Amino acid sequence: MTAAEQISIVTEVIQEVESYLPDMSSYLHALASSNTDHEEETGKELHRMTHTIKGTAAMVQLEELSKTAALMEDVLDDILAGQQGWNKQVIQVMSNTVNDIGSYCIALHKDTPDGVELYHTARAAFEEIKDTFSVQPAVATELSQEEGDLLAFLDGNEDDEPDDAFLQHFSGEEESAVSEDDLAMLLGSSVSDPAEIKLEELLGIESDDPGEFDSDEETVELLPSAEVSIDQELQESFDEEAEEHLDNIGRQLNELASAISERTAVSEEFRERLHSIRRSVHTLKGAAAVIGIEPVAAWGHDFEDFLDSLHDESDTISPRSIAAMQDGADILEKIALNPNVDVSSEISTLQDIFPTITADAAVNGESIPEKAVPQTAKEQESPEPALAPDIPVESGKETSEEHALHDRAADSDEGESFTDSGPTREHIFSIRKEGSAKHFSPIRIAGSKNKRKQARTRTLRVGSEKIAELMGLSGDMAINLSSFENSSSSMQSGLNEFEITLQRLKGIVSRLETGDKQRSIPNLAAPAENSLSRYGTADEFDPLEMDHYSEFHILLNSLNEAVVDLESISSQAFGVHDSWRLAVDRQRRIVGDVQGAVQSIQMTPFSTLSNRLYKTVRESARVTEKQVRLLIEGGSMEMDTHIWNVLADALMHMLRNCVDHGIESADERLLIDKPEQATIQIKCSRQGSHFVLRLSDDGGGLNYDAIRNRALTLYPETDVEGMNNKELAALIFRQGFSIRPKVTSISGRGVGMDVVRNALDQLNGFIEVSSDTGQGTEFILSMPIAVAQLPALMVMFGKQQFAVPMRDISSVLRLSPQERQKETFTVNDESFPLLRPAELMALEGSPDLTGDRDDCRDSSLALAVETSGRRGLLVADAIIGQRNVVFKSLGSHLQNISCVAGATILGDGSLVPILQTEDLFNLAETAAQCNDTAGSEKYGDEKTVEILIVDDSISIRKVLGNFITAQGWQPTTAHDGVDAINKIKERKPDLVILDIEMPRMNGFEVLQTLQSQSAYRDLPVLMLTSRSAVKYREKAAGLGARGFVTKPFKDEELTSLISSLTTQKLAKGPQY
Amino acid sequence: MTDQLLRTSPQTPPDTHEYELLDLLKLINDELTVVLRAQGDDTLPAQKDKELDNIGSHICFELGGQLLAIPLSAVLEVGDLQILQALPLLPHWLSGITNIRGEIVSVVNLALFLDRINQSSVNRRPFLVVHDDTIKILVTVDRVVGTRTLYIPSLELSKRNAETLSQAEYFAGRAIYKEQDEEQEIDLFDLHAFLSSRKLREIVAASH
Repeated sequence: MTAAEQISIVTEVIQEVESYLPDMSSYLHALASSNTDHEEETGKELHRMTHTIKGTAAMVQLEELSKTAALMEDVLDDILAGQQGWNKQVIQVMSNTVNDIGSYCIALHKDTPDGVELYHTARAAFEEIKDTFSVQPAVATELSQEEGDLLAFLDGNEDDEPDDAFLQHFSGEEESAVSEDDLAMLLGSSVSDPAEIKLEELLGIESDDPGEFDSDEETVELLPSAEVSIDQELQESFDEEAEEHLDNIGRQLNELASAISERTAVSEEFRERLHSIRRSVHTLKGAAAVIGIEPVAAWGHDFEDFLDSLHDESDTISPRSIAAMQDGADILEKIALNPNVDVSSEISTLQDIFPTITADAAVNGESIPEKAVPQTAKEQESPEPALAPDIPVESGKETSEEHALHDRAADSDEGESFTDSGPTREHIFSIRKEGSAKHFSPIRIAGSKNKRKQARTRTLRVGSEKIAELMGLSGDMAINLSSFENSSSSMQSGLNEFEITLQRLKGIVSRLETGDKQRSIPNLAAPAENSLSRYGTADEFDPLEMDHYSEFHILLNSLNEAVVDLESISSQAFGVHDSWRLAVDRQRRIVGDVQGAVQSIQMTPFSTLSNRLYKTVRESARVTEKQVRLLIEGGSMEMDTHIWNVLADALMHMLRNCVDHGIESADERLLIDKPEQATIQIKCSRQGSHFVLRLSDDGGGLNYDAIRNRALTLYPETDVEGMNNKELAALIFRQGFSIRPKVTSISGRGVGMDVVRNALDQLNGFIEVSSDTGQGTEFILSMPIAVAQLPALMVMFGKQQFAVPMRDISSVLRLSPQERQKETFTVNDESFPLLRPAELMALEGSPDLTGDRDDCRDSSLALAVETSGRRGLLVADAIIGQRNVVFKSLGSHLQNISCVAGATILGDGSLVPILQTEDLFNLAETAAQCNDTAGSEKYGDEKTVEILIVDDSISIRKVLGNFITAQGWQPTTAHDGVDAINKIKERKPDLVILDIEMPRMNGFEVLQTLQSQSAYRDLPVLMLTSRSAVKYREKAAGLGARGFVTKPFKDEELTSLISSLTTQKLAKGPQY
Repeated sequence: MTDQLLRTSPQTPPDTHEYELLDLLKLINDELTVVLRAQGDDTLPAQKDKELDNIGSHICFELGGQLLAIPLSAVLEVGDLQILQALPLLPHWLSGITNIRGEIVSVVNLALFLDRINQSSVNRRPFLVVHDDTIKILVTVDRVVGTRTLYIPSLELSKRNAETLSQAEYFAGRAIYKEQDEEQEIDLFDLHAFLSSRKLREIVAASH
């Protein structure tokens, strides 16, 4: 960015800031004069503007302005969260700050203003406010009798150094929750550098109530029964935010849980994760407070305190700490999802656990040798400065100033230098509720610039329907492009033709010129008479000396010029077309990229699922009182989100089963020399076009005896005794199978593994299980990379292309014409039925239907298929190749369509049906039973009428065929009488449309032949001829024709006649 | 019949029993009115021959030489069918499926469905994508004429109800539109009857 651009941006920011100031002043004025009934709305507006000022100022490096706004925003946060109320002092300070900001902006226009003074003035003023309000509630909860007096006192002394007054009052109160030491420290800090005190922590820590000294005690408790009513829009916004933060908390905790199996020193990485968790909790708490979800705000506050202590004060971290954090996160998730849920017992338990963990961490931390604490190179180079007791302190939470710094560090390319050269930030302390003990410990907030940037990856939530729409649109783009490409190809052909014609024309012109010249030489006089004689020059010049122009010459010249013009136009057209072609090529690539990008949107990593899995294991372990940990490898594997959605339930079932059935209790494990804590491992990997997930545990393995015993009860008809371990293992996937005699809250209903199998079926995948008793169990789940991507073989049945799922195909065989005629085919001494899909589905162009079975190519291909335990060979007319097709369900539009499972859309937008192989077997069975082509009568009266068109004119056959197809009938054609008789013998149509004059055998002869055979006497024949004379009609009628139509036929007449003849096939008498 | 038409519009819930009952009662009332008027009952209010009820914008199309109209709100898209994939074992009037922006939609040849002569060309198949709350179908027609605001004479409405109900299953009466100050008649296609027909429902499943 150039200096001029930078100045321009800064100017714009200043103008924007200035535009807010008048409104802010008027809002504050309204608040001061109690002239508003919308205190909350006004506060929110002020907050919004302040926040904007903070952000925009940070963006253009106006650090002091940003920090000043951050100070004001902090106070507004507290006010909006209900932790503080409006009063004169607050309003006055804010008004002053707004004025100062105004002055600062004016100064900015002129020269470099003193931003430091702006910030320091504001900081001092706001800290004064915070001092006042932070301490009040701590006392308010404890000093019930004196509360009124205190409040009255504070109210009356807002302008009279409330700190001193308060402390004077407070110092005499021995039963205060804040110890004298705390107070002394507080005082000392305050005096030494009040700006560094972040006393809002005291508010929450000293009281369970994040709230406010003037609120009722009931309002600060978690009230399960109290209905929380939130504005819908705000709630939705909160839900989205909560999901994001809970996901982050879960992810970070999972990483910590995976990495920490025993008490470990807090490394830089761990601390970063703790920081990330704390940040998410802090944000959630703040958001909840703003929109009024009290339970989340309250628990968030307590939880954050615990996180503060872990982050700021602990040098070690243990699995117990992580478990406590996970439990805390679970509570947060529960109440975020439903603020009215009763979590008081869980909270109570955790509130007991938290202090013991922090105390434990403090004690153990001291015992950790220095060398055990991993340090980054940077840490080693720049050791933390030791803290002097009188170093100013601030809260463990990130202050607004830090927020601003963070924003800046992340947003600015100069963030690193800012972090490095910025003020010291390692001075944070907290005063804990239980502890009179005070902890002074450094905090390492600054991370590397890259990490910061990663943490601030911006996301945009988009509904899946919009993605689907985008997919559809990108598909349409591809279709339109294909259409354009076709047009372009046609144009190219046209241009080529044009070029050839042009060259021919040029040749003709050239020959004409040459011929004319040759002709003119022996007869020089003739042209001269026509042209030059008029000018009297004919006699004077020989044609070789001077051109003699006739009318012909002039026309020839014009023609020549026209040819030259056409050449020029042709050249231009070719040029334009080439440009189009290049543009289309570019567009094709772009459309391809767009399609790829849209598809990639739907791909998400496995880690999006991991939170739920960790939680499942944790919950199951808690219920069964076992110690289990889950390790996930390959969490970054990306798959279609739909796969994860389908797989999630299945995996959770499997994990519950693992914990409940597979993992031994801690005592049992110790007895058999296994670690007390069991491990379940999930490994994700990609093998070719398949995603493979291995889920293993180190538990007891499958209890084959128990499975056998259960199977004996459940399946008395089956030879269970004769089953080997593999066969027994397969039983666990049967519906209703469970070896648990009792149904528990986590397993035993016998539906879990069945669900798993169904999920895998749905994903076109499969599952294998292997287990050695006592050694654990491993499940291998394998499925195509994307749901939608179904490996399929593109096959022609008749003239129609189908995609046959590869999972149904075991091999491809070649059949000789003789073998193709048979009903069965033997492979390795096993006989398979030959299924002819084209015939079974009555597809157009089937050689079986058209009687071409005999003259088909030398050999045919057959697909050996197996589905639902049935095996057979599908006779195919051609195999196009294998490809991964995108499965599109017909579900929303067509159901119960026999033989078609779905469809796939090809790149050019055309559709190919996906074969439902199983239906073909059913169809073949039905056909065999009915001795008829099944399916075509599936819809009863909707049987397709087959009409044989017999005409020697290919045009008539085509036009008539199209007309018949358009009416929903099925046409077949014969090119003369002999061909017609053969076709009729092979397959008797419902009607014959017959021409009279044809080679080899005319229409009357065909009629005679049909009438001579009893099998065809009832076949209705409709004569269609250009002969309209009565004698033709009479002869046709005499030979048994049922109708007579002359060419050109009328649509209505022909349709009506065909309808009547095909619906009353047995009716006698001609339809004339 | 206006009410019956309105049943296809998304604003009016078609499934509530209460509505169906009111609809039927109104229909009965209309039919009785026609009969009583024919018998010369003077107690009935005076006829309002010239009064026209505006029944809103409709898409007009030709089918087998007949001009038909469907409420605009029931039509999602109009165009020429480019891609058609026939599927096996379907009734002859169900031409197959097509791809509308990545969504697979079933294609019904309306002429064949109504046992009319199909006059659309093989190369150019104008279509309308019609829908109600549960189903979306592409119907091919002979020609899409355009959008018209339709009116029904108040009295005619009642008369036609009685006539058309007995005449055709998929027609909801006749309306008029004004073109160059002249009134043209047009038949109203009963989309609700079409989409809920047994014939269609046997094949085409509810979308949601």
